[in-house]
Amino acid sequence: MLFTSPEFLCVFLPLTLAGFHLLRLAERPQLCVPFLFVASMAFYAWWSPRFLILLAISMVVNWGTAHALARLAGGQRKAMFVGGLVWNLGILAYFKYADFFITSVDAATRLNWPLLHIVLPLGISFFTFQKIAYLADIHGGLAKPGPLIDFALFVFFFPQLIAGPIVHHAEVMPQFRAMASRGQTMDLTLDTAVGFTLLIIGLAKKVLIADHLAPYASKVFEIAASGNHRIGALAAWQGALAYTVQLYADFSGYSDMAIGLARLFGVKLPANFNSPYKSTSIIEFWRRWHMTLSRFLRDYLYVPLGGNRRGPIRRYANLMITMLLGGLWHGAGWTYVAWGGLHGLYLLVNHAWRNAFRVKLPTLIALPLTLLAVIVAWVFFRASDFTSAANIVAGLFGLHGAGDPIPGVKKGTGLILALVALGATLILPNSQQIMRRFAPVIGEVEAPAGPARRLVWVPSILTAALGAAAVIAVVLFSWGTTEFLYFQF
Amino acid sequence: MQQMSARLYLVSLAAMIFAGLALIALMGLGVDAYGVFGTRLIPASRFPPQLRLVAIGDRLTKGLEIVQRHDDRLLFIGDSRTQHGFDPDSPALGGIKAYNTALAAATLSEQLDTLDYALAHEPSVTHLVWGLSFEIFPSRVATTTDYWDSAFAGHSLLSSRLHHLFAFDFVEASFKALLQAHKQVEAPMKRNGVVNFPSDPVEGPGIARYHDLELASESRELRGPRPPAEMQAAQDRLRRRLAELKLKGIDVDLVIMPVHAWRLEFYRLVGVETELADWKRGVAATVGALASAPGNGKLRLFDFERPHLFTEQPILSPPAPGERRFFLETSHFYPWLGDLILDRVLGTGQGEAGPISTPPFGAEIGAGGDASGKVDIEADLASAAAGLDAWEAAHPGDVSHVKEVIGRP
Repeated sequence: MLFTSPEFLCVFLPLTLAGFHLLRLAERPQLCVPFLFVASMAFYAWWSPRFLILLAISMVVNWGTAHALARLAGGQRKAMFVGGLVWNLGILAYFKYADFFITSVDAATRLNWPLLHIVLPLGISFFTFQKIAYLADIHGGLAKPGPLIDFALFVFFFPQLIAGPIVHHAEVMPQFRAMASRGQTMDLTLDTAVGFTLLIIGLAKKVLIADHLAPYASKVFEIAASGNHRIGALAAWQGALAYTVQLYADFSGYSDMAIGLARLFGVKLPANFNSPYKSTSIIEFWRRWHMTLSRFLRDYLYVPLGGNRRGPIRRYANLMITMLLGGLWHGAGWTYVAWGGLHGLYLLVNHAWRNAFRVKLPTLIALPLTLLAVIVAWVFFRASDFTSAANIVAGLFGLHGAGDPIPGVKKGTGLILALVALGATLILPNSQQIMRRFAPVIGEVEAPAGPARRLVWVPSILTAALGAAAVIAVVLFSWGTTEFLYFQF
Repeated sequence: MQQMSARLYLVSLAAMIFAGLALIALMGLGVDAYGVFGTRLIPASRFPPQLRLVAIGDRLTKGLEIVQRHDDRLLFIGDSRTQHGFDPDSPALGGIKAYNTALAAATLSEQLDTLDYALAHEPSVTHLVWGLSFEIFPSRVATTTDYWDSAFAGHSLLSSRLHHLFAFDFVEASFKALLQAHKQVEAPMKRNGVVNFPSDPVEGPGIARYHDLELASESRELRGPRPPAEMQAAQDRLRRRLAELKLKGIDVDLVIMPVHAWRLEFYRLVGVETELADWKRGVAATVGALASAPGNGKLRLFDFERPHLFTEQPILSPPAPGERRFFLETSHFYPWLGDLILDRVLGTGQGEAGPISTPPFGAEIGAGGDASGKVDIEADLASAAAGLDAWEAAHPGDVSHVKEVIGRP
């Protein structure tokens, strides 16, 4: 069920909200968590009841492992933790990477093993990470296993189940406990207003921006994939910029919706994006882009690998390994690995520059340079193969001149739209900043600078009118809405 | 900006959303551009009876329309070529009541779904004219259309109607219709399902460019051959369905649809000519094999996808005085060429006459050499290939132009 679908917005969400509030009104707050768990299972089952069983079994296994870890010590404890890791990573590897492995082996050896054509369970990459983090923290003595129902909702909570934010157990499980005890004594009206507003912002980003830019990006990448056209500069910039903004609007829009939906039930989630295209370095970009993934990779991969504690060479190696695996996490394809590798390389250069010169470039140079590096990397992320990626990158740098004619590109409409949208992301405050007076996410929200600081949401007749206009526009344009890009990861 | 309570904000937000959507619904119901509800609050005389929209809501519209129709005897099935080219009001039908179910970008898979749906709602149908196109024959149902929201995919009619009422295309068209209520508004599609072409295209340099764009944008063909297994699976599905139709006593005329010579040259240049020939052989083999299958339905196959005066009509220069353009662009022909095809297929002799000196257009495929005038598939293919050779030799400028358009040296 897509967050943008009529089934979700007109049936599932109203019913779930009604059930939740009825339980609170009936002084049965202890039933709110089980109720949301059941609703979340229904949400997932709408897509695939078969995979719901897989997810439920995996949840019970992880909960059992967590409790066993808490009781065991020494080698047994370590063996149990490794067993838990193998279980989670094994499921991920089978469903996500088996065919990729076979394809790669076939390409290298010509063994021609048949593909398994495995269907990828929706959200597997996201909930696998959440469970690994849970086990790792219990193994490290940083957390204690909680009740099954809290853990079940932590795994299944529908706002973040499919595509994150990748929530840490310590962030939400205490909130679930609080939800079970507070009943109607806590007024959720403001949470509801904040939640709906974030949901509307996310819907608008997805339906009005991402879905409208998608055809401009797809056209160029599809023509490049056909292999018969040299992509000229205009087309290449249209494709790359449209995709750059589409991906951001799509994924950050989804995150806004997830944060808003959770808030409707009084639950705060962590921020996932913080105006990443305003970054003046790649290091900063990774602090602003898909922040919950960066946090996971840092805490549960980079740091355990040794982080920056074993000298610069080991540090750079750890960084590169982390980014390559981060790329592979996004998709079972070598272009994703290349994307991760490119960002690993960028980070190495960034760190090396900082260590060698300790000079910060002026924003007017640093920001476009960072953006250019990010855009070039997105080409590899989006392209279906290296040949088409190289075709577009060559176009970006003018190596193909005007290139071969591609319908609809000469007018430059797509390029202009993408530039306007990109400009907006650079000038306007982000969703958290707009909502910052009402603490929309866990943790502090950076105040916007300049004139953008005036764009702050408060409940008023004007914001209600803007919200209503956005909802109506979303309704008019939502027919035929595409899936969220990050669902595939 | 005066701050209000969160409760008042939520109430205001809900009220404004409801008011806005109610306004849109009222406008849509008033104009009723789809003719779905039959409630014309604005006097009907203000609008032409065929006021319809064609865009994203195409499948939704036809899903609703098929349910409302009665007593159709003939259905057109196919993709956009059929949708654009075959007019159920054509004189070639000799007054037979017909409906055009064809849909842009409809693959065979989707055509079969549409056919099931149409036959379920229109038991009076006894005859199908089925336009076949090679390019998307084996493909999956396109994700870019409104198929998945339509009744063809199993959605309810209520869902389709709501979708209509609140889709931007509909709202935009309704609003335009309101603004132009004092004029006659041209609709892009007729109630019988065919695209409406009120007049010939405006001549000028833009015509050639339009052809160029259409050809160059055909990325599907540029991706190389379709997977043989998928092609075979599609052929098998077609065979099974034709056998069922024959058993039910429904006559079927399969028509391999014409394309402009530029596109035939394009097939040759991108290396799919052999694949195209194999596809035609497969369809011909199916028709041949079903000749002895049980059932009373008649099954015939016609091939119009070949060089001919009509399909070789010059693009880079304006047509001769008194001559009409036959092709909207290289892939789609106008209904006046469709009339000639229908006349050939249905044999009523009522279609619009072509140029007097025109050789026969299209061929019925079958065991050759008999008195029925059928042509063996191999002879048909050889004739088509030779025709293209001759066209290439006579039109080197066009060949160079096609090469340039599709980016092939």
